[in-house]
Amino acid sequence: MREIGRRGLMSIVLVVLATACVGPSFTVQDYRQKAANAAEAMRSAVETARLVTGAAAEGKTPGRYASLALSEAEMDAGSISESFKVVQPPSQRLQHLREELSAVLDASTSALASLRIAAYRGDDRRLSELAADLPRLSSELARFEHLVPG
Amino acid sequence: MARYLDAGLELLDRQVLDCDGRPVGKVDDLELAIDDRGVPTVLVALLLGPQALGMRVGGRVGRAMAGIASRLAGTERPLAIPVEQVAEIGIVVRLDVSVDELPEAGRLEHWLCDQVVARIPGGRRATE
Amino acid sequence: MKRVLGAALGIFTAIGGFMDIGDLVTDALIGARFGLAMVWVTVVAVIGITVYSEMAGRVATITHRPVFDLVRERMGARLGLANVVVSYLLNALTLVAELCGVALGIELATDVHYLLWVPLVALVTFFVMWRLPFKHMERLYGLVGLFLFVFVVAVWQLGPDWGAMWHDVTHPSVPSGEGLPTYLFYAVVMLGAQMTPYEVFFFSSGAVEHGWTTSDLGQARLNVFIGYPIGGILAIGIQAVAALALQPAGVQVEHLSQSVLPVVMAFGKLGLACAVLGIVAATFGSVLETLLSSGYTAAQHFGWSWGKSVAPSSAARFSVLVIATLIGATAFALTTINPITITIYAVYLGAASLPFTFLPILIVANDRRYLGEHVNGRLANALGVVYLFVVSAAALAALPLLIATKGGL
Repeated sequence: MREIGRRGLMSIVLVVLATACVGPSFTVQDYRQKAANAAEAMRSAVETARLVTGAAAEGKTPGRYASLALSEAEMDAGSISESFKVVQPPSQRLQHLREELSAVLDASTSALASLRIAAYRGDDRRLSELAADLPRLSSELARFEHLVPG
Repeated sequence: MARYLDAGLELLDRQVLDCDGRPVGKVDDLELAIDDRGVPTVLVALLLGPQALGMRVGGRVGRAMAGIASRLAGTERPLAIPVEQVAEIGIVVRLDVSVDELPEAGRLEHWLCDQVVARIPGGRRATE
Repeated sequence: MKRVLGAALGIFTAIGGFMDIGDLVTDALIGARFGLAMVWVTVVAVIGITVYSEMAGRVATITHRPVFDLVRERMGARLGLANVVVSYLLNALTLVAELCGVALGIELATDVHYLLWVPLVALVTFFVMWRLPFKHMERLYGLVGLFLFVFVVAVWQLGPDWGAMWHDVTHPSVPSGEGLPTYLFYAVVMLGAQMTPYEVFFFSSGAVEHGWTTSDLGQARLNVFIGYPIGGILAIGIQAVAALALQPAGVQVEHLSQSVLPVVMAFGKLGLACAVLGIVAATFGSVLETLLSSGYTAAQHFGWSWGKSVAPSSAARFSVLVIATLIGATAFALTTINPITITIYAVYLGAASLPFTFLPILIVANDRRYLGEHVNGRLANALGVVYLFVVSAAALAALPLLIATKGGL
């Protein structure tokens, strides 16, 4: 009886581990969900950068904080973008979605990288110039979040 | 009227303090004398320390614990405190001997004190 | 005058002791994701931790025997041993999270990578542990931790619609786009962040370290009855500013830099400075509390002599275990494992282990042989039983919710 309990627990742990990993995506619905999640996570990084640069423009952030927050956003963006792109879309029709979203994810990642560099250099003017592009990226990402109903 | 002591509830796992109120350990197990019929009748000693606890817990974990403790202590026998040395059994068990008179009780404590704590600056600072 | 000051200091320490990296991360994360829809969980958690800390403190003050000493008597050898191992590991895991928390806090102000600060924080921890008297240690982080009030003040600065906020608090609903399992998963996480087992271990062991007697019961009660609710207000403040500043933008909090962003938006550099000071002090306090608690649990279970206020040479096994735990936790933190992930896991596992901490306290607090006339009254028992059900339900639901939500996705 005890043996079964232990084995049962092991299998639960294995199931948790298996579902937590990002694996190949099997159904159309799964893939759309993954795309929506990636877009949502990227929008979080972009919006973080927008809020940080907004505060910076008002002279509210010490330079070190801005460059730290932006480099964290950039790192998040890099890993979001990578882990979305390694997933194989299950059908030809979704290949189009993959390309479209990948382009926005890449654009966001490189925008965040430029922001981080400008913040690191303390170049406030460049920072606010670059920040002007963030709302557009954010709204493009928002479009992909509604791929999945509910 | 005789007062009964529930050994499982009121003796096992209780904190043991020496005559100066210093901790000695927990009542990890009990040693009972067996009469000629093979029935345990009289409480002989309180058993303390990881050997006793390991044997009581049993199973793979318990045996491993007892085994390691025996090897470190160099003896199979756990620390036994004869009931004659027990002064009082209440929410703690008080002994009427000092922990210094029970060399096995403080072996690891003394070893760690001399080999580790004393070598760290400030290790010998006083109690607040 | 001196007594008032002493009482106030005790309360401040309780506030500082309440806040830790688990709060700082989960409050901001949940505020940004669920708005104010989980304030009720904080209220529930604060009442629970207050009730059980008071019981544990009362037992320790009167019998001079802290929680873990008694847990074993009530659980027997096997379950007791399992409990001490799990509690020790949980404390050690929380310690890793808190160590990283201090380092992340310093990183916010310096932009020097947090991993470089971890060994330094460990070193300072060692010195405070080894040298600073218990009382001074507590006051140090308790007082500086009050800078966290900047999060509460920031709520006013961000100019909220108070009526709408009150409505969100009193009519909690699952935000659109979030499932009910996810909401419940984070409710369990929130419960774990605010009802941490180490707070109970530390408070009851602290009563013994302070040498409290029956005449100090009033102070002990004051600390928890006032200190913890104020800690709860801080937690709600962090949720509120995240809800105001981050939720509308769709920011998901994954870094401490995002937790403090609302304060930066409200008060700029000065706000950031206050937040960093508060975070560093509160998490540093939790480093000490979790570190000592890992020593307390083991020493009290095996009946060793223990205590920070005792000379290290008179509590050698305890002192060596504490140092070894500090070294181990530092090494683990340096493996570059994600500190925020560690925090969430520590908080989540803490929630699952609560019934094993609470049940023995409730039993002992009703035992006249231990407490005499100071046994639980009707109110304490009623609340105690209700909370035992609450934490048991949370513990049972924890694993299914983790699976159903794939870890809160």
